[in-house]
Amino acid sequence: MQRRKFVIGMGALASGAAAMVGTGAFTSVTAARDIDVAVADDASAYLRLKGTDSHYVTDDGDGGTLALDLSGDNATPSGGSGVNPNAVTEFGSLFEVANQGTQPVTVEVTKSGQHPGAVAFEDGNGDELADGIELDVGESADISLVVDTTDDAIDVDEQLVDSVVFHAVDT
Amino acid sequence: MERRTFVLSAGAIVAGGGLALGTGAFDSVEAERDVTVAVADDADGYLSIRPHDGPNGAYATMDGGELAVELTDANGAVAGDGVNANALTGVANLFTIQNQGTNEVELAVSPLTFLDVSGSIFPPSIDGVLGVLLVPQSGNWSVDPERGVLSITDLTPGEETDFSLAAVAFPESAIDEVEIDDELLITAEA
Amino acid sequence: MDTAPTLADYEELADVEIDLSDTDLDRETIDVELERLFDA
Repeated sequence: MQRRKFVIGMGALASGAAAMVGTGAFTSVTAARDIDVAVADDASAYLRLKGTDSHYVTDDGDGGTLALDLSGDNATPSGGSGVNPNAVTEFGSLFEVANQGTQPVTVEVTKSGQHPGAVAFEDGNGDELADGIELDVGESADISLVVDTTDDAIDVDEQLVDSVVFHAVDT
Repeated sequence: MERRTFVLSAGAIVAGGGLALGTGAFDSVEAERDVTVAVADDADGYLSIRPHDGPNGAYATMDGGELAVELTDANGAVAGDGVNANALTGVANLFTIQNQGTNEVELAVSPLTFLDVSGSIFPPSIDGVLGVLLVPQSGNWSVDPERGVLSITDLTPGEETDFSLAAVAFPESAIDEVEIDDELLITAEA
Repeated sequence: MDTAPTLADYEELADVEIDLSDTDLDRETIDVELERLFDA
């Protein structure tokens, strides 16, 4: 009689029972998964920075990044080109900072310039951004600028601040 | 008596509960057997791939049972639509991979660096750069530059490992100009 | 390895060099953040 060869398939058959496959003993898994990341404007990004409708807001964050200019490059229609010397000037509600992320954060600001200490970013409670302001998910803070040029060391035509860095770190 | 070598086939007849011995010639055999293989969603798969159970897991979605890292306006669970420009954004504890099988595996994730650059060569100018880096949260990782792969060795059954993400976007003109719309390959080998 | 990957590691993996001269972000800031994310 002719010999026949049978070949083992997946798992040996037990008599009459279902074919048994070693449960969970995978030897390899390959999975391709989507990753999508977008760059959003400041008004819609995870850290929302949205300028108000003020002359001093040169970019309100809609379509761009927030920019403020209180200098001769952005002179007022009536000719003002900067804050007064030896004075305290407040600019109310210049921008909003909001937490559009997933967890509570503390927002801080570090300032660079010739006299960064002269410029304070304050929320409605008088708390300074430099000291950190806590924002829950969805919470926002209305930020005003208070500029104090009463320090003798500050001279006319000096640039107090030329850039700032906002940090938001999970609390 | 002639010795016969029998090797069982997945379709071999088991008549009446015993092993079939070659008693007669046959041309073909068809036998139906139960084989159950279920498809689980990513979280319940033998290799579990799921959003981290902390708050930043919200940056990953489960779409049709599959995990997707989604830092765009398509993610309804997060109010923001993307990362800030001229900024470094860090998302810790984004997703988790767990070995829910029974063998120890070597886990490989590739690529880890995602880049989109927009600009021109002549004259040289950059309109936008978006770099997204996947960060392992495991002390047991090593990099294979030839394959562009990060591997985490010895993920034992039940063991899990988390991933974070860092994104760098600049300059301001990167807004709506560059994006990552890509795929991440996750492999686990016993 | 039990230390965080650095920006240089990622550049090597992708065989690219990321030019940061168009931004105020520097490599050290990025590496510090990578370490924070690694240790999270």
